[in-house]
Amino acid sequence: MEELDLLKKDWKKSEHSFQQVSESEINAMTHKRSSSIVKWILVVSILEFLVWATLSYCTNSDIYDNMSHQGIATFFKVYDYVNYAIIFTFIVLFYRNYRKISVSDSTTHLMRSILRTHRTVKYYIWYNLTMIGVAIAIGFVVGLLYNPDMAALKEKIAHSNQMMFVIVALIALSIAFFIAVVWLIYRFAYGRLLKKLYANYIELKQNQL
Amino acid sequence: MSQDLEQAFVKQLRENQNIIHKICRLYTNGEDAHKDLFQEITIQLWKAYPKFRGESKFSTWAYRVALNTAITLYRKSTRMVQTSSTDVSNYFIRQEDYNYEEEEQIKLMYQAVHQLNDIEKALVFMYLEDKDYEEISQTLGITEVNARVKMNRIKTKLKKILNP
Repeated sequence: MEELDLLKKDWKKSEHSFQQVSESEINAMTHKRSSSIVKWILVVSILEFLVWATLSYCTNSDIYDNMSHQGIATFFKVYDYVNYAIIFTFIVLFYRNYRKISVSDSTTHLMRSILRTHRTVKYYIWYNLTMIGVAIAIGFVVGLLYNPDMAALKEKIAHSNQMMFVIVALIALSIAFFIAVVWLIYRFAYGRLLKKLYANYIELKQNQL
Repeated sequence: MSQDLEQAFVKQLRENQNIIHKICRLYTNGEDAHKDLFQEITIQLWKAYPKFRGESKFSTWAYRVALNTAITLYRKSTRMVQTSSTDVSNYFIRQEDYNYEEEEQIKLMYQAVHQLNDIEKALVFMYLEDKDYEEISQTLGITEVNARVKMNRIKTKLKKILNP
Protein backbone atom coordinates (compact mmCIF):
# COMPACT_ATOMS: atom_id res chain seq x y z
CA MET A 1 0.00 0.00 0.00
CA GLU A 2 1.53 3.20 -1.22
CA GLU A 3 0.16 5.41 1.56
CA LEU A 4 1.42 3.08 4.25
CA ASP A 5 4.91 3.29 2.80
CA LEU A 6 4.65 7.05 2.72
CA LEU A 7 3.66 6.92 6.35
CA LYS A 8 6.62 4.69 7.11
CA LYS A 9 8.94 7.22 5.54
CA ASP A 10 7.51 9.98 7.68
CA TRP A 11 7.50 7.72 10.73
CA LYS A 12 11.23 7.22 10.44
CA LYS A 13 11.85 10.88 9.73
CA SER A 14 9.98 12.01 12.82
CA GLU A 15 11.77 9.48 15.01
CA HIS A 16 13.80 12.21 16.67
CA SER A 17 11.12 14.84 16.86
CA PHE A 18 9.66 13.94 20.24
CA GLN A 19 10.21 16.22 23.17
CA GLN A 20 12.63 14.24 25.28
CA VAL A 21 11.82 13.29 28.85
CA SER A 22 14.71 13.87 31.24
CA GLU A 23 16.15 11.32 33.67
CA SER A 24 14.77 13.17 36.67
CA GLU A 25 11.30 13.12 35.10
CA ILE A 26 11.58 9.36 34.50
CA ASN A 27 12.76 8.99 38.07
CA ALA A 28 9.69 10.80 39.32
CA MET A 29 7.42 8.61 37.17
CA THR A 30 8.77 5.37 38.63
CA HIS A 31 7.46 6.48 42.02
CA LYS A 32 3.98 7.25 40.75
CA ARG A 33 1.14 4.81 41.25
CA SER A 34 -0.11 2.67 38.41
CA SER A 35 -3.70 2.95 37.26
CA SER A 36 -3.63 -0.34 35.34
CA ILE A 37 -6.63 -2.65 35.23
CA VAL A 38 -4.62 -5.40 36.93
CA LYS A 39 -4.29 -3.21 39.99
CA TRP A 40 -8.01 -2.51 39.97
CA ILE A 41 -8.89 -6.16 39.55
CA LEU A 42 -6.76 -6.91 42.60
CA VAL A 43 -8.43 -4.17 44.66
CA VAL A 44 -11.97 -5.17 43.66
CA SER A 45 -11.22 -8.86 44.23
CA ILE A 46 -9.82 -8.33 47.72
CA LEU A 47 -12.94 -6.34 48.59
CA GLU A 48 -15.10 -9.16 47.29
CA PHE A 49 -13.26 -11.83 49.24
CA LEU A 50 -13.70 -9.75 52.37
CA VAL A 51 -17.38 -9.03 51.79
CA TRP A 52 -18.26 -12.67 51.13
CA ALA A 53 -16.18 -14.03 53.98
CA THR A 54 -17.87 -11.60 56.37
CA LEU A 55 -21.29 -12.36 54.96
CA SER A 56 -20.94 -16.13 55.19
CA TYR A 57 -19.59 -15.76 58.72
CA CYS A 58 -22.63 -13.70 59.76
CA THR A 59 -25.28 -15.91 58.13
CA ASN A 60 -23.81 -19.08 59.58
CA SER A 61 -23.77 -17.86 63.18
CA ASP A 62 -27.43 -16.85 62.78
CA ILE A 63 -28.41 -20.28 61.63
CA TYR A 64 -26.75 -21.94 64.64
CA ASP A 65 -28.70 -19.88 67.12
CA ASN A 66 -32.04 -20.96 65.70
CA MET A 67 -31.08 -24.59 65.44
CA SER A 68 -32.64 -27.02 67.84
CA HIS A 69 -31.91 -30.19 65.92
CA GLN A 70 -28.53 -31.69 66.85
CA GLY A 71 -27.87 -33.57 63.60
CA ILE A 72 -28.48 -30.54 61.44
CA ALA A 73 -26.43 -28.27 63.71
CA THR A 74 -23.49 -30.64 63.28
CA PHE A 75 -24.04 -30.65 59.53
CA PHE A 76 -23.83 -26.86 59.43
CA LYS A 77 -20.71 -26.84 61.60
CA VAL A 78 -18.98 -29.24 59.20
CA TYR A 79 -20.26 -27.23 56.27
CA ASP A 80 -18.73 -24.17 57.89
CA TYR A 81 -15.25 -25.68 57.97
CA VAL A 82 -15.61 -26.94 54.42
CA ASN A 83 -16.71 -23.47 53.39
CA TYR A 84 -13.65 -21.83 54.94
CA ALA A 85 -11.41 -24.41 53.29
CA ILE A 86 -13.03 -23.60 49.94
CA ILE A 87 -12.66 -19.83 50.42
CA PHE A 88 -9.03 -20.38 51.33
CA THR A 89 -8.53 -22.49 48.18
CA PHE A 90 -10.07 -19.73 46.09
CA ILE A 91 -7.74 -17.14 47.60
CA VAL A 92 -4.70 -19.34 46.94
CA LEU A 93 -5.83 -19.91 43.34
CA PHE A 94 -6.48 -16.22 42.87
CA TYR A 95 -3.07 -15.29 44.23
CA ARG A 96 -1.31 -17.85 42.04
CA ASN A 97 -3.11 -16.63 38.93
CA TYR A 98 -2.46 -13.03 39.86
CA ARG A 99 1.26 -13.70 40.26
CA LYS A 100 1.36 -15.25 36.80
CA ILE A 101 0.26 -12.02 35.14
CA SER A 102 3.36 -10.74 33.42
CA VAL A 103 3.46 -7.69 31.23
CA SER A 104 6.50 -9.16 29.46
CA ASP A 105 4.45 -12.03 28.02
CA SER A 106 2.87 -11.96 24.59
CA THR A 107 -0.33 -9.92 24.39
CA THR A 108 -2.57 -12.98 24.04
CA HIS A 109 -0.86 -14.68 26.96
CA LEU A 110 -1.14 -11.58 29.14
CA MET A 111 -4.82 -11.16 28.35
CA ARG A 112 -5.45 -14.83 29.09
CA SER A 113 -3.75 -14.59 32.49
CA ILE A 114 -5.82 -11.53 33.42
CA LEU A 115 -9.04 -13.21 32.34
CA ARG A 116 -8.10 -16.37 34.26
CA THR A 117 -7.51 -14.32 37.43
CA HIS A 118 -10.81 -12.61 36.96
CA ARG A 119 -12.53 -15.95 36.37
CA THR A 120 -11.36 -17.22 39.78
CA VAL A 121 -13.24 -14.38 41.43
CA LYS A 122 -16.24 -15.02 39.20
CA TYR A 123 -16.40 -18.67 40.26
CA TYR A 124 -15.91 -17.64 43.87
CA ILE A 125 -18.89 -15.34 43.67
CA TRP A 126 -21.08 -17.95 41.97
CA TYR A 127 -20.04 -20.44 44.62
CA ASN A 128 -21.10 -18.01 47.34
CA LEU A 129 -24.38 -17.16 45.65
CA THR A 130 -25.24 -20.84 45.28
CA MET A 131 -24.29 -21.54 48.87
CA ILE A 132 -26.35 -18.65 50.17
CA GLY A 133 -29.32 -19.78 48.08
CA VAL A 134 -28.94 -23.32 49.42
CA ALA A 135 -28.54 -22.02 52.99
CA ILE A 136 -31.72 -19.94 52.73
CA ALA A 137 -33.67 -22.93 51.38
CA ILE A 138 -32.28 -25.40 53.95
CA GLY A 139 -32.66 -22.84 56.74
CA PHE A 140 -36.30 -22.45 55.87
CA VAL A 141 -37.06 -26.15 55.63
CA VAL A 142 -35.19 -26.89 58.85
CA GLY A 143 -36.95 -24.03 60.61
CA LEU A 144 -40.28 -25.28 59.43
CA LEU A 145 -39.62 -28.83 60.55
CA TYR A 146 -37.91 -28.28 63.88
CA ASN A 147 -38.72 -24.81 65.15
CA PRO A 148 -41.74 -24.92 67.51
CA ASP A 149 -42.58 -21.30 66.66
CA MET A 150 -43.37 -22.40 63.14
CA ALA A 151 -46.04 -24.90 64.20
CA ALA A 152 -48.91 -22.57 63.29
CA LEU A 153 -47.50 -21.94 59.84
CA LYS A 154 -46.90 -25.66 59.36
CA GLU A 155 -50.51 -26.29 60.20
CA LYS A 156 -51.64 -23.79 57.59
CA ILE A 157 -49.43 -25.25 54.88
CA ALA A 158 -50.69 -28.73 55.63
CA HIS A 159 -54.23 -27.56 54.98
CA SER A 160 -53.72 -25.33 52.01
CA ASN A 161 -51.81 -25.93 48.80
CA GLN A 162 -52.12 -22.26 48.02
CA MET A 163 -50.22 -21.30 51.16
CA MET A 164 -47.48 -23.74 50.23
CA PHE A 165 -47.23 -22.17 46.81
CA VAL A 166 -47.04 -18.64 48.26
CA ILE A 167 -44.26 -19.63 50.65
CA VAL A 168 -42.19 -21.36 47.96
CA ALA A 169 -42.69 -18.41 45.60
CA LEU A 170 -41.58 -15.99 48.32
CA ILE A 171 -38.40 -17.92 48.96
CA ALA A 172 -37.66 -18.24 45.26
CA LEU A 173 -38.27 -14.54 44.71
CA SER A 174 -36.09 -13.42 47.58
CA ILE A 175 -33.25 -15.67 46.39
CA ALA A 176 -33.67 -14.37 42.82
CA PHE A 177 -33.73 -10.77 44.01
CA PHE A 178 -30.62 -11.29 46.08
CA ILE A 179 -28.76 -12.90 43.19
CA ALA A 180 -29.86 -10.14 40.79
CA VAL A 181 -28.56 -7.42 43.10
CA VAL A 182 -25.21 -9.14 43.52
CA TRP A 183 -24.98 -9.78 39.79
CA LEU A 184 -25.60 -6.10 39.05
CA ILE A 185 -22.96 -4.98 41.53
CA TYR A 186 -20.62 -7.50 40.00
CA ARG A 187 -21.28 -6.27 36.47
CA PHE A 188 -20.71 -2.74 37.65
CA ALA A 189 -17.44 -3.60 39.36
CA TYR A 190 -15.91 -5.45 36.42
CA GLY A 191 -17.95 -4.39 33.42
CA ARG A 192 -16.13 -1.18 32.72
CA LEU A 193 -12.82 -2.62 33.80
CA LEU A 194 -12.86 -5.55 31.41
CA LYS A 195 -14.95 -4.37 28.47
CA LYS A 196 -11.98 -3.14 26.47
CA LEU A 197 -9.92 -6.19 27.36
CA TYR A 198 -12.61 -8.62 26.17
CA ALA A 199 -13.12 -6.72 22.94
CA ASN A 200 -9.39 -6.73 22.20
CA TYR A 201 -9.05 -10.37 23.15
CA ILE A 202 -11.79 -11.37 20.71
CA GLU A 203 -10.27 -9.17 18.02
CA LEU A 204 -6.86 -10.73 18.56
CA LYS A 205 -8.16 -14.30 18.43
CA GLN A 206 -10.18 -13.68 15.28
CA ASN A 207 -8.99 -15.75 12.30
CA GLN A 208 -6.69 -17.69 14.58
CA LEU A 209 -6.52 -21.32 13.47
CA MET B 1 14.65 -1.83 44.99
CA SER B 2 18.24 -0.72 44.95
CA GLN B 3 19.33 2.65 43.72
CA ASP B 4 21.73 1.15 41.21
CA LEU B 5 18.93 -0.78 39.59
CA GLU B 6 16.80 2.32 39.36
CA GLN B 7 19.65 4.34 37.91
CA ALA B 8 20.37 1.70 35.29
CA PHE B 9 16.68 1.59 34.41
CA VAL B 10 16.30 5.36 34.13
CA LYS B 11 19.35 5.57 31.88
CA GLN B 12 18.18 2.80 29.57
CA LEU B 13 14.70 4.21 29.41
CA ARG B 14 15.92 7.69 28.57
CA GLU B 15 17.96 6.28 25.72
CA ASN B 16 15.03 4.22 24.42
CA GLN B 17 12.19 6.60 25.18
CA ASN B 18 11.27 7.14 21.54
CA ILE B 19 9.76 3.65 21.47
CA ILE B 20 7.26 4.76 24.09
CA HIS B 21 6.66 8.12 22.47
CA LYS B 22 5.82 6.41 19.20
CA ILE B 23 3.32 4.09 20.85
CA CYS B 24 1.75 7.02 22.71
CA ARG B 25 1.47 8.84 19.42
CA LEU B 26 -0.61 6.03 17.92
CA TYR B 27 -2.75 5.30 20.95
CA THR B 28 -3.55 8.78 22.23
CA ASN B 29 -4.84 12.13 21.03
CA GLY B 30 -3.32 15.22 22.51
CA GLU B 31 -0.47 16.04 24.79
CA ASP B 32 -2.07 15.23 28.16
CA ALA B 33 -3.12 11.76 27.07
CA HIS B 34 0.33 11.20 25.58
CA LYS B 35 1.96 12.08 28.91
CA ASP B 36 -0.48 9.96 30.87
CA LEU B 37 0.15 6.84 28.81
CA PHE B 38 3.89 7.52 28.79
CA GLN B 39 3.81 7.55 32.58
CA GLU B 40 1.80 4.32 32.85
CA ILE B 41 4.17 2.54 30.44
CA THR B 42 7.15 3.79 32.47
CA ILE B 43 5.57 2.44 35.68
CA GLN B 44 4.89 -0.94 34.07
CA LEU B 45 8.42 -1.14 32.66
CA TRP B 46 9.87 -0.27 36.04
CA LYS B 47 7.73 -2.84 37.82
CA ALA B 48 8.76 -5.54 35.36
CA TYR B 49 12.41 -4.45 35.21
CA PRO B 50 13.72 -6.67 38.05
CA LYS B 51 12.62 -9.69 35.99
CA PHE B 52 14.25 -8.40 32.83
CA ARG B 53 17.46 -10.38 32.69
CA GLY B 54 18.80 -9.09 29.48
CA GLU B 55 18.11 -12.21 27.39
CA SER B 56 16.79 -9.83 24.80
CA LYS B 57 17.72 -6.27 24.08
CA PHE B 58 16.18 -3.64 26.35
CA SER B 59 14.45 -2.14 23.34
CA THR B 60 12.85 -5.45 22.25
CA TRP B 61 11.60 -6.04 25.77
CA ALA B 62 10.37 -2.46 26.08
CA TYR B 63 8.41 -2.78 22.81
CA ARG B 64 6.47 -5.67 24.22
CA VAL B 65 5.78 -4.18 27.65
CA ALA B 66 4.82 -0.82 26.17
CA LEU B 67 2.43 -2.37 23.62
CA ASN B 68 0.89 -4.61 26.26
CA THR B 69 0.34 -1.62 28.50
CA ALA B 70 -1.30 0.40 25.74
CA ILE B 71 -3.54 -2.47 24.56
CA THR B 72 -4.35 -4.31 27.75
CA LEU B 73 -3.50 -2.63 31.02
CA TYR B 74 -4.01 1.02 30.40
CA ARG B 75 -7.12 2.75 31.69
CA LYS B 76 -7.55 6.32 30.69
CA SER B 77 -7.17 8.38 33.80
CA THR B 78 -10.46 9.91 34.84
CA ARG B 79 -9.03 13.34 35.39
CA MET B 80 -8.18 13.48 31.70
CA VAL B 81 -10.53 15.25 29.36
CA GLN B 82 -11.02 13.21 26.23
CA THR B 83 -10.38 15.30 23.15
CA SER B 84 -12.37 14.32 20.11
CA SER B 85 -9.97 15.81 17.64
CA THR B 86 -7.67 13.40 15.88
CA ASP B 87 -5.16 16.01 14.92
CA VAL B 88 -2.09 14.34 16.27
CA SER B 89 0.47 16.15 14.23
CA ASN B 90 0.55 19.31 16.30
CA TYR B 91 2.21 18.27 19.48
CA PHE B 92 5.51 17.08 18.25
CA ILE B 93 8.09 19.23 16.57
CA ARG B 94 7.94 19.09 12.79
CA GLN B 95 10.81 19.18 10.40
CA GLU B 96 10.74 22.01 7.94
CA ASP B 97 11.60 20.19 4.73
CA TYR B 98 8.34 18.89 3.38
CA ASN B 99 6.12 19.39 0.42
CA TYR B 100 2.59 20.43 1.17
CA GLU B 101 0.72 17.73 -0.74
CA GLU B 102 2.71 14.90 0.72
CA GLU B 103 2.34 16.36 4.16
CA GLU B 104 -1.42 16.56 3.73
CA GLN B 105 -1.57 12.92 2.66
CA ILE B 106 0.52 11.84 5.65
CA LYS B 107 -1.76 13.76 7.96
CA LEU B 108 -4.77 11.95 6.51
CA MET B 109 -2.98 8.64 6.97
CA TYR B 110 -2.32 9.37 10.64
CA GLN B 111 -5.97 10.23 11.10
CA ALA B 112 -6.98 6.99 9.38
CA VAL B 113 -4.63 4.94 11.57
CA HIS B 114 -6.18 6.59 14.62
CA GLN B 115 -9.54 5.18 13.63
CA LEU B 116 -8.24 1.60 13.81
CA ASN B 117 -8.81 -0.52 16.90
CA ASP B 118 -6.10 -1.27 19.48
CA ILE B 119 -4.98 -4.54 17.92
CA GLU B 120 -4.84 -3.09 14.42
CA LYS B 121 -2.79 -0.17 15.70
CA ALA B 122 -0.33 -2.61 17.23
CA LEU B 123 0.14 -4.32 13.88
CA VAL B 124 0.56 -1.02 12.06
CA PHE B 125 3.03 0.10 14.70
CA MET B 126 5.20 -2.98 14.22
CA TYR B 127 4.90 -2.70 10.46
CA LEU B 128 6.10 0.89 10.61
CA GLU B 129 8.93 -0.26 12.85
CA ASP B 130 10.00 -2.78 10.18
CA LYS B 131 9.32 -5.80 12.39
CA ASP B 132 8.94 -9.07 10.50
CA TYR B 133 5.86 -11.25 10.79
CA GLU B 134 7.67 -13.66 13.06
CA GLU B 135 8.28 -10.97 15.65
CA ILE B 136 4.79 -9.51 15.21
CA SER B 137 3.22 -12.92 15.81
CA GLN B 138 5.44 -13.58 18.83
CA THR B 139 4.72 -10.21 20.40
CA LEU B 140 0.98 -10.52 20.00
CA GLY B 141 0.88 -14.27 20.63
CA ILE B 142 -0.92 -15.13 17.40
CA THR B 143 0.12 -17.28 14.44
CA GLU B 144 2.14 -15.80 11.60
CA VAL B 145 -0.68 -16.61 9.19
CA ASN B 146 -3.14 -14.71 11.34
CA ALA B 147 -0.76 -11.74 11.55
CA ARG B 148 -0.56 -11.65 7.74
CA VAL B 149 -4.32 -11.96 7.35
CA LYS B 150 -4.84 -9.15 9.85
CA MET B 151 -2.30 -6.91 8.14
CA ASN B 152 -4.02 -7.38 4.76
CA ARG B 153 -7.38 -6.51 6.29
CA ILE B 154 -5.91 -3.43 7.87
CA LYS B 155 -4.61 -2.27 4.48
CA THR B 156 -8.07 -2.73 3.00
CA LYS B 157 -9.65 -0.96 5.94
CA LEU B 158 -7.26 1.98 5.66
CA LYS B 159 -7.98 2.25 1.93
CA LYS B 160 -11.69 2.39 2.71
CA ILE B 161 -11.21 5.09 5.33
CA LEU B 162 -9.12 7.17 2.93
CA ASN B 163 -11.44 6.71 -0.06
CA PRO B 164 -14.92 6.26 1.33
